[in-house]
Amino acid sequence: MIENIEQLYLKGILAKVLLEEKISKVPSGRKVEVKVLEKRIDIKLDGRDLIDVLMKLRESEKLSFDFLDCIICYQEKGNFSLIYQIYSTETWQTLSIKAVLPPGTSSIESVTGIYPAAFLMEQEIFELYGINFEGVNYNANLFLPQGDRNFPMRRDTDG
Amino acid sequence: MVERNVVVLNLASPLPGLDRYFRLKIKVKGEVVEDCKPEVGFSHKGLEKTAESMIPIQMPFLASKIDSSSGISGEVAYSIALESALSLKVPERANAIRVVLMEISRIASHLGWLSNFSLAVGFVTCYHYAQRDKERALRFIEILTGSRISPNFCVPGGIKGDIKSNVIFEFLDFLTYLDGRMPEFDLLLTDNKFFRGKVDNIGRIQREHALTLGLTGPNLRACGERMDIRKIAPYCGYENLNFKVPVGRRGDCFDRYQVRMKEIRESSDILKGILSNMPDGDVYIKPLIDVHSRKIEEYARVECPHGELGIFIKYDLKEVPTRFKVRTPSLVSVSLLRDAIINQRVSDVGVIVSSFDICLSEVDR
Amino acid sequence: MDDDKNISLTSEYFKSFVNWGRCFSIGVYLVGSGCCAQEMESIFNPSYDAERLGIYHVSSPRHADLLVVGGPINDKMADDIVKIYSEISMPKWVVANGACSCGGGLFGRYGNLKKLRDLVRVDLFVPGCPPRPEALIYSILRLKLKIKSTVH
Repeated sequence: MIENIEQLYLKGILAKVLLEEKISKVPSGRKVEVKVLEKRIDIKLDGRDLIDVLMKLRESEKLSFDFLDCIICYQEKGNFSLIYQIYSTETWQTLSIKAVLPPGTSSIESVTGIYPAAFLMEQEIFELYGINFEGVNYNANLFLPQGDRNFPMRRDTDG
Repeated sequence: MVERNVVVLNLASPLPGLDRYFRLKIKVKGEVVEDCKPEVGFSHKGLEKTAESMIPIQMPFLASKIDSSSGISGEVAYSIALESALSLKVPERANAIRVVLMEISRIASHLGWLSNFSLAVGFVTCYHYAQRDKERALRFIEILTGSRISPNFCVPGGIKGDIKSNVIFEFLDFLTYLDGRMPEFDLLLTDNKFFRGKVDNIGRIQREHALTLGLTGPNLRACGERMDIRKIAPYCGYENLNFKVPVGRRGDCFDRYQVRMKEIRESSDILKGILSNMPDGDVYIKPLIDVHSRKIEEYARVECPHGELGIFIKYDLKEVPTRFKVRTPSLVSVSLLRDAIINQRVSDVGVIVSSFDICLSEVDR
Repeated sequence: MDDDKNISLTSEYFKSFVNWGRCFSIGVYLVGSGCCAQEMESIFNPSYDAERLGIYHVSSPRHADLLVVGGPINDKMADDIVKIYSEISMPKWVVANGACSCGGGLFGRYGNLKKLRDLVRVDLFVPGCPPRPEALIYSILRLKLKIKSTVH
């Protein structure tokens, strides 16, 4: 019993140290910032690199991040950003990925192929913000009346 | 092509297991359910958008409306989010009273769930017994904070009031009374073969499937996964407390019932420990810095009676937040209903839906 | 026959006797969402016990005399409330419970919330966020003054 806890602890520490080297290189060459804080790991990247980084994180042997907690969307001066909160079920380590969408666009690839939990969360974001998720078609509305396409959470004024 | 003996039913509010307003379309062949589709959105009130025009003194009241059966959970989540972002220090006595309020809310919420669940199964006596005990628990929340459902009591930096010593004695008397009540519930329900015949092996969900969909709380613990935010990411002094996390085995309705009954006993033990050793000191420290001073982006989570409640706030040097997002545990339970109901009988649908403890004002916000 | 001296079915005495009977047998159908719903259901507790006053809970609008609506009302819910109101047979009364159904309440600034008095004819408004169970019981007792003057 005690050996297992030590092994998990060592796995977690080693994996955190190696994480930055593993994720920082993406095929497109854009910048990926990784910060390892006391309670969680923060990653900031461009929206187009999201799927590459997630596949690498999911397939890691030592610390696989496989529990999607929530997807948060916000709008800052007309540009959208999505934050993905992910846990690892072995050590319950928190990971927070911020995907900044290119200015002026509102579409990103869907992650339902990797995390099935994302289906409901993306449907809600599409309904309230109008962000298009490529690959999946969200027709029916959850909260608003059918056919309502006003995107009430969008902010038209600055900030 | 029209299949024979296939009926589409619209189940709604009059059934005792489906309280509030929630529609479930099920496709029935004979007596067995083939497919189901839940429809939510009847309580959508725009909580997140309303928060974008509220100043910090108004926020705790709005946060207490997230979870209607335990209003203090939302307030504590908002307070710890701001405290960790601005590095505010909270006195020990305030943390102890926050723990007291959260645990008594957990007891009240589970007793309220028990009354609805036993009504769905058909045991009306337990409905009356559980409601009577729930009212006594809500009375203590009222003595401390002034209101039963929306306390408006917890602010960043501490809490708004104090607890007197005669209230502590009444509290300990109530916990002794509750210890005598739990064997009665065991006699009426847990050890009763008629109750077991109606809830055993019904509505099973698999642990791996529940984890891929993001389930948390007592529903996940009934499947065998030991996940509790109070142990993984402790807050408000839970790291110094000694308590166990009850876990089930099979993931059926009986395990979800058993996990909640054991949690009531654990909460009662935590309360006895903390009320006997209450630390001295202030209950509120006025913060030296506020939301105007720097940009804040923070996510905090607490263990509310339904699961993991997460609050994300973002301030941009203004008094009102730019974004206030709530991550609620009941939305995932709604998506898992389909796996729990398929291939079960129509008469069991009310029992299964009621065993998940879905709070609809959380789902719709 | 002398109508002044005999008690016939249309006389004032008979009508007030029937209205007195209606006061002590009020079937309540609850429609609620949110925090108000929990307090509304609590009036049939052993602690508050509205049944000793003649107020009982029904599970179908066809059996009801009184409709109590609590919680915020959006577009989806408004259609259903109008349908439920039309299913209740005369004589019927409506109580608006809580700040959200009276006039929008805390969430009134969000675009699509409706007020109950724009949908149906309301007899009584109960303020509070949420109103205590005793407040709702007291308001139904005050409604009896209105019931006693029913003409139907």
